[in-house]
Amino acid sequence: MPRLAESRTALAAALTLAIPLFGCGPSRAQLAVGEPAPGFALQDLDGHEVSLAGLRGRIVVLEWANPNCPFSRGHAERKTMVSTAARHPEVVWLAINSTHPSHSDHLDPAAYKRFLAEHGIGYPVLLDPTGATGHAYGARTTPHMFVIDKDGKVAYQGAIDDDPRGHPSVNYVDAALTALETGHAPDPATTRPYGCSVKY
Amino acid sequence: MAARHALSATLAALALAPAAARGAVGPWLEQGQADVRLVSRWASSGPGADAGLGVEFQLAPGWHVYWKNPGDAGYPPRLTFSSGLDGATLRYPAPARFDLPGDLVAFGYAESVIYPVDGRLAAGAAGTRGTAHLAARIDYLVCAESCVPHAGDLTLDLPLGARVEDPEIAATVDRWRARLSVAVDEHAVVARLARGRDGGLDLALTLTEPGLTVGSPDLFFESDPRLALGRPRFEATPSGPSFAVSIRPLDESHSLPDPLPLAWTATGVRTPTGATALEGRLALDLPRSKGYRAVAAGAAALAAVLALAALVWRMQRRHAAHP
Repeated sequence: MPRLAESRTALAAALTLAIPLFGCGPSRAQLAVGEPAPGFALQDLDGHEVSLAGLRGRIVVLEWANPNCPFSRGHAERKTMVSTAARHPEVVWLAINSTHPSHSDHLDPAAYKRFLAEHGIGYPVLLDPTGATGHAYGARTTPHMFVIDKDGKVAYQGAIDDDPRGHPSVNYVDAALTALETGHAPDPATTRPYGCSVKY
Repeated sequence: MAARHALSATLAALALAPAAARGAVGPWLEQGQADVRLVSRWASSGPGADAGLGVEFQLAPGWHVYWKNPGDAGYPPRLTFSSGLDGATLRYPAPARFDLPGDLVAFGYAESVIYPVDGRLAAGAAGTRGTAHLAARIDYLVCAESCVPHAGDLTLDLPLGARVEDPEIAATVDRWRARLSVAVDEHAVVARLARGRDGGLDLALTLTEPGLTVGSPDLFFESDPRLALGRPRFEATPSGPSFAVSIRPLDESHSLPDPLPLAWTATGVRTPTGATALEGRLALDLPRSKGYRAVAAGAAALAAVLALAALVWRMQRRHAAHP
């Protein structure tokens, strides 16, 4: 029996040393800065298709939105997104709504267009009824912001600004766009998004 | 909301208590998903003395308010006193974990909570009729599947005089105060950070303080937003209660601070002195990135080969001795 015990000890030592190589743990499917932005081809409220591939070479902002979320509505009322987009006319600004059609927050296109008109929002709203694009980006809140650089990589992801209560001192997306436009990397490039959950 | 108030039986009963010293309670701020008010554990107190305050929330079924780290979304209450209190600090009892649609996790409180408030009655707090008038602005988010931001004004008139405790309100406030986490000695924690799969990190945190008993343990963090932390997995080990957490950097364009600061709170553990939540701060040395992984992998592989070689050699020797 000593032989067996010694053999087991030696084998156990070998396996113990090997285990850390295969350590595992759950990780949330959230897109990291520096990764390629997942492609999409989604329809806007008029049924026109917009694809990310067609925007290569441009800086693109994706804003996950839901007009029935108080945070999205608050930003619409305070013109946060509209005024930020206006400061960067070369940037393509797209809202994406991943609300499931069966959810009570879902808006039909006519009601959605009324909301946009009332709040002076002129940039396209893309519909992601399956949630596939939202899940590919790991969009968690409305709003959750992604800035994609000209090479198609995620350059910023997180909150629009530093105050969910509506009195921000820093607009992160504005700062990220200014950085990219002047040849710099956004800093911070990752912040914690705030808002309502995406109603997948 | 009346039904909800009735649930706060301890405090409601006080209104009917004729002669007992009554702790001060402010008027409810009724806001649909939540009713909020100030309460004091004291029936009377004096300027410069502890005000014994708390902010009480009574929440509609299914709604919650937030801990200091709200989790994936949301934000904690903000309390700003305009009069009556010096050194006001809102404290956060040990939270619960809520899994929300959209794969979000929130940390906070459902049904009811009293956030204890540290602070002393201001010297100039004397109002009319021998009371100190306390006034504060509360600004908070209440969420179920959807969230509603609220703000409003809270007031409380606390009788001035010798400090007299209201035993029932004091018990209620103190029950929540007892859920505040207690800082542990840094030597009573062993934390190890290792490289995990997909370039992530695996944290193992073990509480080694003697005499800990475990109920339903959980671990919460205040961390860098550039990190996605997985759900802690608890394990009872001979060294003490232990948690394993996966950490994934969300930003490949910037290096993480090294050492990596991480504040943690463990709940569902009880110390011999009666604390039910522990907290601490870590400054974790990051394992070297690719170079470290290569060296670690090489060392482990070499060790495995040597161990197997030793095993074979021993077996051959035995075989030679006993053919």
